[in-house]
Amino acid sequence: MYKFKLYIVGQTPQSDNVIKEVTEFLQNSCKDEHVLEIVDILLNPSQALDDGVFVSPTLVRMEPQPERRVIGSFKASDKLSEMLFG
Amino acid sequence: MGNRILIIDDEEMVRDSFLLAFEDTEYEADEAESGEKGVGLLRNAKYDLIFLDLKMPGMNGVETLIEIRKLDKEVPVYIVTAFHEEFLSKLNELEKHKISFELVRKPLGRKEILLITESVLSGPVTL
Repeated sequence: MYKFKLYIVGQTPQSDNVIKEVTEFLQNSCKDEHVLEIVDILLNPSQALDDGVFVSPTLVRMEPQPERRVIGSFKASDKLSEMLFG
Repeated sequence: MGNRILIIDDEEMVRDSFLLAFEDTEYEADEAESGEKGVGLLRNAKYDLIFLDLKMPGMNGVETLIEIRKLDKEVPVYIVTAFHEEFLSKLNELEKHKISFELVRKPLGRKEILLITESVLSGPVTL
């Protein structure tokens, strides 16, 4: 089972878009074999700090180890697949 | 022509650290020491990315971003601040108005500045 955390900021059109892109990408890449937790840095800054996140949006693959972190665009692409699953 | 980046921060040392980070790169960086000056630059030029300080005298980061969005709805804006409730609560107004922005935590080193810039302008980056 894959576990991901997505750190976004607020309920803005941009954040909504990031959540949509990541949700679709993960659904297509690992279907029901994943869990996605969304952390809003505005509501929970201490969690972002504790997790060493310095920018939004950040997508972290928590499991399986080793952890992987990606920042930037989460539009489905071969590059993103390689970063998270390659 | 390279991508154009605007740094808006009242602290000269912070602006210099960004300018230094972009030295000898493909990026062209402009600086503004206030929100008013930053918005003024944006009236006359198109930018691909903006780093914006939250806490500034005069027009603060929130007020500056509201003005920026009147001129450019698409440009990615990264608000540079501490990840602390005291500062982040000031951003609720932007959220209320559905104004998009991203956050980046202070302090930032050269490596982080370039990673964020690459991730915005050239696609995802792994940390």
